[in-house]
Amino acid sequence: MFPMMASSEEKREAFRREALLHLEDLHGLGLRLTGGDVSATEELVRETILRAHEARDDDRRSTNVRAWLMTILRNTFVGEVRTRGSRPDPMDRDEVGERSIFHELADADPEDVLFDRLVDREVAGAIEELEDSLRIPLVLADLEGLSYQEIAETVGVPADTVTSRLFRARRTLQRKLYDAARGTGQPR
Amino acid sequence: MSADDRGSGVPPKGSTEEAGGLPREMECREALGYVYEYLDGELDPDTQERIHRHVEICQRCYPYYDFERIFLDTVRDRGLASGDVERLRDRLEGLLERAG
Repeated sequence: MFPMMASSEEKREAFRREALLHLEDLHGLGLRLTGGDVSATEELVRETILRAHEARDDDRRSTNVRAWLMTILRNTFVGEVRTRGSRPDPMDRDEVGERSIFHELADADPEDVLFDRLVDREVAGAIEELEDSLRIPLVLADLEGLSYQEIAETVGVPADTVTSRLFRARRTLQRKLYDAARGTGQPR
Repeated sequence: MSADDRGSGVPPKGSTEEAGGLPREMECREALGYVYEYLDGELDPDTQERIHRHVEICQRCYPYYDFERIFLDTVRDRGLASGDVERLRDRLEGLLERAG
């Protein structure tokens, strides 16, 4: 006996369930990429879902729906940034203090004095405060798990530039989190 | 630029120095300079292995690497936090309904 073919209604419902299952992750990634711009994020997620809906029957798409949707969102965002012509400016890593917070902790347990005191929203907010040229590589590396080469190709800069921007992004973020944990950060 | 940063005399990535052939101070500088590339698995295998062996036994570098690893784990574990998406979910369900 042949298995029953899913009706188009069932397929549509299956897609809706699968896609919206990952809505929080898509929304979180969108917020980080746009620097906390809620309306831009909602538009980005909407565009992502629409594009996925159009390609839902494409056999070439990844079977990992979450990864597939996150990739569509990322590519949509980067495409829009490039269209606007607002590619991040090249920067000199010597411009800011880049010393690791580690050197200020002395013998204290970093988890105890720093990271355990932070709530998720503080971490997310600190990422959103980073300027585009730092935030985007950091989000792609640390939240999306892309390699330096993949980030370079996505953003359109040399891999060495990705390396130095990631370095600056992480050191800048470290400082923000350290200040937030000590209660000395700027109120949000 | 601080001593723990790249560009302060750190040997170039993929240095051909024999494992264990670097003076301890140079090993530390290399390890400190490439901390993120190491933790991201972005170094060539020889450099990755050399730094791994050094950090395992170095009292100066090990806690530093541990700190940076905890920092990156914190970012990765908490950085994707989302806000309230229920209104957006309602809108998208309507959108998909109309899209057919």
